[in-house]
Amino acid sequence: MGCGYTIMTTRILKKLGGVACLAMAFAAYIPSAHAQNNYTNAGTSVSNTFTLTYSVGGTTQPQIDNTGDPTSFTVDRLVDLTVSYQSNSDDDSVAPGAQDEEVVFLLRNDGNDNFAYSLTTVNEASGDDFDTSNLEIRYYIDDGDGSYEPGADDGSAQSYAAATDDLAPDAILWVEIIGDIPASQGDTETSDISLVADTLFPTAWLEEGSTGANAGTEVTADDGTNTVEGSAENVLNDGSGTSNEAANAGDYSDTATFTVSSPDLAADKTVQVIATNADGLFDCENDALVSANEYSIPGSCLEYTITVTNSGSADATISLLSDTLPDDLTFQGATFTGFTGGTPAQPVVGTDCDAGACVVSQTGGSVTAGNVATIEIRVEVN
Amino acid sequence: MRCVVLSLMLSLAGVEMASAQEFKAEQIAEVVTLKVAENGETEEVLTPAEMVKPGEIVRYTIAWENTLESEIEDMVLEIPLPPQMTYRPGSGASDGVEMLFSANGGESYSALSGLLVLEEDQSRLAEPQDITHLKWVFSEPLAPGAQGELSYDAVLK
Repeated sequence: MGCGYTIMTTRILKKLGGVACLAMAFAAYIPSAHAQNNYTNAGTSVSNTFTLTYSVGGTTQPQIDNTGDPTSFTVDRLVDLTVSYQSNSDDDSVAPGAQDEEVVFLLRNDGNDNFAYSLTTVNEASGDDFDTSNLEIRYYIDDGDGSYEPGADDGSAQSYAAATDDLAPDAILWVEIIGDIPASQGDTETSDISLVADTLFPTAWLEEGSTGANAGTEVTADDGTNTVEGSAENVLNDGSGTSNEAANAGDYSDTATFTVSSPDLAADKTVQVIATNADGLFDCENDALVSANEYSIPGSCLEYTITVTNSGSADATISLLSDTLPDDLTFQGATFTGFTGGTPAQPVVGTDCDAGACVVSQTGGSVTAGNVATIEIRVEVN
Repeated sequence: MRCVVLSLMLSLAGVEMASAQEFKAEQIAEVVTLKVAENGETEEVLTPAEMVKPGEIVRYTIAWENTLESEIEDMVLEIPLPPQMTYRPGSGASDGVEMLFSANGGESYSALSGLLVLEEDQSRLAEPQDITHLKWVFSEPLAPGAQGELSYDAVLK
């Protein structure tokens, strides 16, 4: 009695001999980040035996069993797969003219044998605003944790040509479609791209060995006429993800979307005392900062700096940027830097800024992508 | 219908017989498919199990015949479930026969309602996937010439 415990409905379970027993004969379930299908491998022969014991006239007879020729069947080969766009895995918000932008898909083998896959991209013709150009495919082999970790735990990018590597049941590939965004696209415009995966013969089955010359060819359904006794028949169990493919055809698909985003403009304004100018001899229009310890008294020279930053990847066109200086200041000059085109405007040097008389502005022009433009305004404290 | 049959020739030492006779038993496997009939009711369709898909239900039927001239007593049928199959609850019941279950590889058996499994030092009620063996204990003797059969279902993982 290896386990050493008694199972009765009314007794407490006892553990004897210090050995704990678990239910045996079933494969241990290895926890994983996603639900496993745990299907029996295709081509497995499942055998069932029985034992019959009995007695005649009080004498136990030899047992009857079928262990010499058990009741057996072969497990079919189920073809099933998932293709799923991972909208959270990458930034699918793109700028006009951007190149090598990516969308990421999960491709998982949901069947019960090894399979390889063909991958096809589709630039959807309707329902979106533009087509992404120069589409390419690459993929990463998931390391088993179900997390997209390109270049890290999932290794370097695999280039794709005609067929992926063999994928075991429940294993995942992260497929990236890369493309270029046309420069003429505007804010919020979208491009839909679909990935279609079709099931191919792998180089080797889990139970039935090498596929020989069939490797890389499409898996089709067997109609019950295969003549090799005991060899698994192919059953196509897939659904349909998009209208690019049908159910029960060995393929699946999903659609990703690029969305064009506008430039990102931010402006702020700071002020600094350039010179205390106690002796009144400082040239506020032209002289440089005296020290970091200047302080403001009547006659001091101050500098306002307006900074406009375009952190987007598209140029930001300025319609009007204007600043009205406060009272009790006298205008001493303004310097515009970093604007492309447009028309700067400023008051005459010496203008008293009371009642909003000092307006400094930039009309039109742009701040180019990734650039910073500034307006530095010198004033003297009245 | 392809049936797998084995009958073992009985050693009849201890039983006086005029000629060699056999107690035969055989087991077949069929796939159970549930179909909705025209009248809207669900019916079971049985086909021989040669190719089976994961998730399908297989019905095993064991049939026996007492071709001896004596009663057969203390008959006990024991089935180790294949590791790829899960017992389908509710199946296997037979009048006048006690059905018992094991979750520890056949070391011990109990009724299903009392079957416990030890897991990480805690015991819990067994679930279908814990069951490893099935056993039927026949309380009534089997008269000469009597035939019988019982069926139970299991699901392919």
